[in-house]
Amino acid sequence: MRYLSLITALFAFALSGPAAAEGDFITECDALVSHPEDPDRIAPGVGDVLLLAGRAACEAAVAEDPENRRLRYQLGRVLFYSADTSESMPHLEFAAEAGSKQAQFVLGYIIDEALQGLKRDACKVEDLWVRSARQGRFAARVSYPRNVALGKFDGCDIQANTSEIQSFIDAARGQADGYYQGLLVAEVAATYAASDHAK
Amino acid sequence: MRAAFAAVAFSLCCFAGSPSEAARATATFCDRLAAHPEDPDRIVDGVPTAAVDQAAAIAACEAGLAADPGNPRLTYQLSRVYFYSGRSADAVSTMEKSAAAGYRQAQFVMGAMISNNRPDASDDICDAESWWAKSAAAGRLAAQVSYVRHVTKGLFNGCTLHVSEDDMSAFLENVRATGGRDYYLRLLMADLTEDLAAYRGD
Repeated sequence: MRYLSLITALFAFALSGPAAAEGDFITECDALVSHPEDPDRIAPGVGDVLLLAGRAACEAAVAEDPENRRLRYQLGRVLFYSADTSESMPHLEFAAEAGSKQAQFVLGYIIDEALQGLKRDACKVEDLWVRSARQGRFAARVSYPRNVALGKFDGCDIQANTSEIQSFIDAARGQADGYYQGLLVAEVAATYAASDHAK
Repeated sequence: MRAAFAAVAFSLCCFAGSPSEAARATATFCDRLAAHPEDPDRIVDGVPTAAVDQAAAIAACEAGLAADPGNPRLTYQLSRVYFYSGRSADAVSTMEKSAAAGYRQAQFVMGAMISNNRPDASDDICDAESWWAKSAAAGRLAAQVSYVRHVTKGLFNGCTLHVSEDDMSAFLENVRATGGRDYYLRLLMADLTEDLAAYRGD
């Protein structure tokens, strides 16, 4: 029954979801481990990942296509959820360097929060999030200005100038989905406008 | 399916007097066409705004209310669709009836319409304070968040506040406890918690 639902969802997504890049096809890794908010996913997102099945599927998919940043991100995702942090990191790093805006945001997030024993590194977060924000990832477009305004990137080379940061906020306002996201953007806009960085 | 709808229609047309609570818990066409996905008191899955069939939903909700006058859930849903179809005066007056009957989603939306300066809504921000205080006390998370945000930003200055500082802290605790893993809500809560602490002078 679970697989029938999965097949139905995949079929529906193929009809309505973002078009996959030419040559891309939905792997079992996509079906089991895609993140619902990854703008580059090619299958419906999965909130509660089946760890063992997802890991096996993504390891197999990455073995077939090791340069695929989407699959590398998804393998990193399932490994991180499995608390295999050190195994997860090279995949997240690869995906982020290869330009996955989702991996850039997520890697920045887990470092910013120092999750699972990671060492906090504000300047690395700044670098990851500015790249993700420039590529349009909503979460980075709110998180980057917020961290700048709260002084969390003080001491780093802040790569986005005032006008670019404001453009992130303005774009996020248009991307906000739902009441809470709208309130958060308003909150970040106010916090940033009142901060020394905006002056 | 058709038989099920016929049964619903029969129960609506032929019920003598005020419907019981059990009847009010029966999904109507109005529910199926106009329930809001975030209404905590909806009795079916919600319909996203873009998917609402406005003409059909208005007809269904007006019929539903004719069969069950005063049902606050159906009243709210009718107001919702009036609003989407640009009938703002009807939307506001209908929403107010549902809110006055204690429907927490309508109370929240009344406050939001006032706060957002919607046409035909009250221009007194203190009315929003009052509606959100009621909705928040009834457990509507969006009202709990919005109430604290407006107070800490000074947007209710000059109004009588119906919620104590301790209750505002409890609102944020509740949102944090029930908001799940949502990243954006967690960021918002972090900021509002700081704002409330500063407001309280903690």
